[in-house]
Amino acid sequence: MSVQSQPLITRRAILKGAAGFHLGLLLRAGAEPLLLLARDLDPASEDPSQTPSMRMGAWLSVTPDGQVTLRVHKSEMGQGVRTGLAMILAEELDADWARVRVEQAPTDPDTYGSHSTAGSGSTSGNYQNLRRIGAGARLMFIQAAAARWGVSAESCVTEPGKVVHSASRRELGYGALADEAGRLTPPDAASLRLKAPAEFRIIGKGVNRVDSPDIVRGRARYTADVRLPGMAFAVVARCPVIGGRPGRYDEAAALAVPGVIRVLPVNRGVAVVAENTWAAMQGRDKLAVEWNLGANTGISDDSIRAGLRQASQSAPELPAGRAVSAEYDLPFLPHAAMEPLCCVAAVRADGADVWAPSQNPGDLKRTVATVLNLPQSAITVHLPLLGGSFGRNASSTVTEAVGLSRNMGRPVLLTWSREDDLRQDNYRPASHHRLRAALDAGGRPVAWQHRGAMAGGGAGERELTPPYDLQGLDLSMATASLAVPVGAWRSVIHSAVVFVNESFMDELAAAAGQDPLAYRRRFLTNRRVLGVLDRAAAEIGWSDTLPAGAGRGIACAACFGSYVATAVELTVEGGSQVRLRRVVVAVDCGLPVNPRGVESQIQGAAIDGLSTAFRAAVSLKGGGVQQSSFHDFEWFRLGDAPPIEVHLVTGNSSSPGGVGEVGYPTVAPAVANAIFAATGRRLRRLPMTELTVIGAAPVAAPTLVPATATSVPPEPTATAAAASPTPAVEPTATGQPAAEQDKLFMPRLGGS
Amino acid sequence: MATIRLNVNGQAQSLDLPPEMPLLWVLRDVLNLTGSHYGCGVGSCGACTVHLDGEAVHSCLTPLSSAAGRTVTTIEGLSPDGSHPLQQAWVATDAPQCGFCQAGQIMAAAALLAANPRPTPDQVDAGMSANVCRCGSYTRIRAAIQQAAGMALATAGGER
Repeated sequence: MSVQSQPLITRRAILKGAAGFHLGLLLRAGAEPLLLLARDLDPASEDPSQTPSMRMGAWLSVTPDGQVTLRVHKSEMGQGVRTGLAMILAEELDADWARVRVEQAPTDPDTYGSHSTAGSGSTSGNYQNLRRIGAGARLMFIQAAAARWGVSAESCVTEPGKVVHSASRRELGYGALADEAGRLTPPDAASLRLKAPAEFRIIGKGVNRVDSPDIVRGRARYTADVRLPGMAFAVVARCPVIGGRPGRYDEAAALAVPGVIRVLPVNRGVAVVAENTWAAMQGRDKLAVEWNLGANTGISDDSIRAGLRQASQSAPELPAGRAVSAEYDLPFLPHAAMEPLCCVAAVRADGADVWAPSQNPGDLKRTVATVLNLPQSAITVHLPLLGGSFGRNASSTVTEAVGLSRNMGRPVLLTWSREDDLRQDNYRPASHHRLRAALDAGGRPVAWQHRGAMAGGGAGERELTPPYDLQGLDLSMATASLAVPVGAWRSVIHSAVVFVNESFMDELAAAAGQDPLAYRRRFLTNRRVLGVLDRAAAEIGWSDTLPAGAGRGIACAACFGSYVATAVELTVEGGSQVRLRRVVVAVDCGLPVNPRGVESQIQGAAIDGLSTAFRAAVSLKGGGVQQSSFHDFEWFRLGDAPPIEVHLVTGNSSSPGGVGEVGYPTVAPAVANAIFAATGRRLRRLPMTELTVIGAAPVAAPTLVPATATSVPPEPTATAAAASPTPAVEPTATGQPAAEQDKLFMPRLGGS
Repeated sequence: MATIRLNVNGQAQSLDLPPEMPLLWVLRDVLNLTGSHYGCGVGSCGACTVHLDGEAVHSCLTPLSSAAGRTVTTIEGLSPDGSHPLQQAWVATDAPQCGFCQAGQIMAAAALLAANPRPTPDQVDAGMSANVCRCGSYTRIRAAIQQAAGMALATAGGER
């Protein structure tokens, strides 16, 4: 067999190269300058005297040719964190952005603090810290130049990539100063001067993603793309019923497939290890596993709905007034990241290297060390780009892959099939909600009750509170134990509660005979929510005349330290065919570090919102998830996507709020409210499968096979979100501390 | 098994592999061309899209045998240096989010524009309907295709 010679580029090789690259340069490892702190900070409580030390050289380096390397310690899953955090460092360093390259930081919580990437907190939680690191380095360059010129540091300024002495018109590039600057003692935090926002050259200016050039050339490396010498490829046969276990299987038949090397049991399945992924898949299909289906075969959509209703508690009698009540239902949602779960593990006797699409690689280090009974120092966790994530948890995949590699004595890439990924997930919890309110004669709610239940975890008053100034709130959600595994999913509790609250608010407006926008404004005292609501309404032309069959809906929320409102304009044709005309989103995320990135995140979240409003969810039957791939888990495609406009409301805070999850929650309620406006029909259950989205494109997606192909498509083979606070009042400068968010968003096992 | 010869990104390949092995896994696991991604294996997502004699195909559904004697182009071979108008437009519009699907999106768009250099918005929608972007980067994908095609930009917020 002749095989094209292809360099085996691995993350390890890249990092090794990078380490050599840093030697002898600014902020050398040998100097170990101690400056600031590495942990995610609560920016509102900055007190440098209370912060532990860190190695500045871990975060940035400058080579004599002026190349600036910045390290980012959070998981890049498409949210642009590698670009945004680097912008913050580069800003205060006053780097020339054209000379900046970004590198993934090693997984080393002792140096970098938490790598956990969750709760939309990466930017807000690291903003001040990264600024101080950048500013400290800039001051060192100034000091080095001042010493060379024999002038005072105070008489020097920086311009992108260089120090300038205006009085003598002298200047020196950072590269030329790197060696001298690297020998200086880093300044202490108290001596740093951070830039005033007016001085920003990078923050707030809108920068393209640093990873795009590699992505568009097929050079970006995801976990699935890691190739190591001697690597084997594995897939696992998994029970179609939740909680089932393998019984007998035909090992010999699997081993008879050319390329199959071993058949190994794993936790709840049977792994086939082969010389390539396809051979492993062929072998898996020959296993003919007899499953012990276990106790969950009775689980179905109906049993889930009944279980949620049964767990829901009743509320006290409403006070006098006009009573309004409504019940809402939300489904389990899979993460369905484009990159199915996967892991590369290379286990040796004395340690292991692991690559995984993880939002918490620091945690993985502990997990792997425990599994292998080795010290954490023997475990290296590499973090390639993540092919999406949306809150999913990679740890079970890593445990499987580590076990396989240990057994095989060689590196193993374990790939979950798409079917595995959709059917074996930790899902956004399904939930049932009962809302009741009493309105006074003027339409004001004098009571607002929220009851119901959520799979795997309940919710309390803080999570259920609408963003309005209302009296008589009585809010609680019970936990329903349903055996279906649950986990964090983009926007977590807000993904459900905002749909419910903002749909119900619309129902109250209708009951009061008032315009939904005016009704909301009547009870809004949070000026930042009001700001985005008014902006979205203005941009969509809330008062403009609509054609026949058209409707507009609006919804607003405060979450993750930011504020968002979405307005949707659509038409409904023939009673059930929806044509989406416009989606307008207004966002106040405080200081938008990268407005271009914010826009991208909000646009993407709008597609999430639309897909899951209309048709994307999992359904259960016989104890298993029915959907197997993107033909029956019907995500929006290009032709479905309406024009999505994003408007940033700025000037209300000098600190950044969250962005990654903020765009999702208000989309579905804005859609439901627009459907009501267009038709008078109130849809309270997601997804709204009674409707069909029509666009310019054909509805059916073609399958592209070559004209001469004779292939038969392979046969597709089944914790509750903890709450995050919804600020009912103005939060502190940037919302909650990231450390707290990390804790809040740790998924816990649900159900069984 | 007989040797199967084909051209991949300008290089002749002679492969002793099962004829029914999907092209995707030949590319990824044998030739180490990992730019084409596995997203579903059943032709439902388009992350694996490559060109077979210039035509967009799902490589996960394309048996190696049907590529025999033909020319395969993957994202790595679309241009020598990332200079294809679509690659440039993808960067200029900042289209990628996680990026995992984007090789397939770009290859689908490249086949579309090769066959129809001035597609209408409806033709773009139809030509891209075999591809899913879970991140929802469609607004910018559409802009990138329009930019690459030199199409008049549709007015944001206007009727399509």
